[in-house]
Amino acid sequence: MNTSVEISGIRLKNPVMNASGTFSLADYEEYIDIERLGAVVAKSVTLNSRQGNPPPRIVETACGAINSVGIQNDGAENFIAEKLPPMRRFKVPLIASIAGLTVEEYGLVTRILEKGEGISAYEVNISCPNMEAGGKAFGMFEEDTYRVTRAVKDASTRPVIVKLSPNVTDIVKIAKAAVDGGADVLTIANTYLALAVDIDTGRPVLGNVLGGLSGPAIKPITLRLVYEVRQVMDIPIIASGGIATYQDALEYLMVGANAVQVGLMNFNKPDIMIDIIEDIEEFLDKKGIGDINEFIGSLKI
Amino acid sequence: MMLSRIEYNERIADGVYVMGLDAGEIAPSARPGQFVHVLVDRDKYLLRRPFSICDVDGGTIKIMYRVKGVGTELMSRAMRGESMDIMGPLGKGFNEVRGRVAIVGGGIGLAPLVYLARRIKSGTMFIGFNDEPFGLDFISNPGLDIRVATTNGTTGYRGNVVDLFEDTLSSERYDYMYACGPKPMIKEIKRVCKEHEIPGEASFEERMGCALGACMVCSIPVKDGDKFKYKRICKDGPVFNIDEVIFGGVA
Repeated sequence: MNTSVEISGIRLKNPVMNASGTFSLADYEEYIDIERLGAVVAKSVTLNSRQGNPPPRIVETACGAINSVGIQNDGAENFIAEKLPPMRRFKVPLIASIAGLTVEEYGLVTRILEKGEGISAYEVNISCPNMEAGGKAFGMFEEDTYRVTRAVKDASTRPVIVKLSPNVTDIVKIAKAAVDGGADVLTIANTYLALAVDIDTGRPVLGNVLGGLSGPAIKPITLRLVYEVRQVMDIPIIASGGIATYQDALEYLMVGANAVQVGLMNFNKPDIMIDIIEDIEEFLDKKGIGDINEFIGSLKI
Repeated sequence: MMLSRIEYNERIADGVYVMGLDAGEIAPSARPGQFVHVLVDRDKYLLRRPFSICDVDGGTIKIMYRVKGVGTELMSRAMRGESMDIMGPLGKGFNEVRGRVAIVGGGIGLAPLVYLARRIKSGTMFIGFNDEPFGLDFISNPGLDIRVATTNGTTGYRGNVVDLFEDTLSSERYDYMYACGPKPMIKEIKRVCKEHEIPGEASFEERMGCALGACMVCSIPVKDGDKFKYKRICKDGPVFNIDEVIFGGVA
């Protein structure tokens, strides 16, 4: 049976990878066979190191959790020098994640990452606050999405995956802006802006007040976003939103995603991605489907 | 991850429980101050909850917890013979040092101190409660003098355990200090230890994600030169040198 998929020239042995920020090779290798994954996505890096948001940074909600880490990272140069070399020990496509607080920063981070060997593609995190325009996420606006994508694309020799924000009125317009900016692949989508309140203290639960909701609660909504984009665009799509089981992953693939990311559930079961990979294989086998690419986009309306 | 059978789950005080888990793979390597990451209910809750390893007895690990939210409420109703999905031992535990040590605990902060208290050679344990003390019978160490403070004065010293500790320091000397309790209490202990030049460490908690060091969720601000940085409670801790931790706002 063939479970491998190709995304913008990158061959993945199966369509399952982690969502950025929910997994790391060094911390998870004891719990999961890394080389069985389709790909691995690194945590987002910015130009300079960032402290991130004040704690608490996570709160569980119904069928999900809200988090607000705030892109805590040691900067792009540190990523190339310290984090990347040990990641290359594994035979698995590695996707670096680019973040920034200005359009220019995205380009500068890309230039630094270009020096790193063994990176298969870049995923661009456009859900960061745009510090030149009031702190709303770049991904909320067509113009900002276009400019950030263009800044990365112009500096990149590698495929550019743009991870869209779901906090938009019309995802198709934003998706088109990313493609106009040079996106080779879209990841749909980041987390949903959310709030949790502690009625005993009278304060927000999270130190940052707002956070991003992820987990099974969001799956039907993100599935709809993938559906909307797939209806009108042929670009490869990586779906990310609330995948907890192989059924969730298959729903996304059926709607037309070419690969999927697992996020929050890595906290629940560190090797859950292996379960999902094996269960997908079993499903396809049972259905007599010899190639996963026949299943992708097979939704009948 | 492993499924671990519940050997007992007993209420030892109002809202405080002790659970014994058959964890033959975890118990032998568990050190005082380390923790386990517990999936309380596989169907209802996605995030695991971190609990200090209270003590180890052969292949059994003991966790002591206070019912505080929905997760611990569910846990308190778990029955002997049922199983829990746990990961561990995780984190960096206490540094076990030589010399005469003080252990200072407040309320459910006793949890990670029980195992430690069993292993030290000589010293004093100062333990504070709001009202009725609990869990003291878990500690049996002839080298350890146990002194209790209660806010309402029903048992032992009337008042705050930090005051009891501080009063004692006018006539006694300790080489090292271990603590666990509410953050305002640890902050006060830090002040007292600084005044008396006693080095020490404390165990901290925070809402946690992966517990493996990847997600950067359970952060704690620590000194970094004249600035600060966030460390990970799950991997860099949960035990930190009391001097490096920053209490209060950092932004």
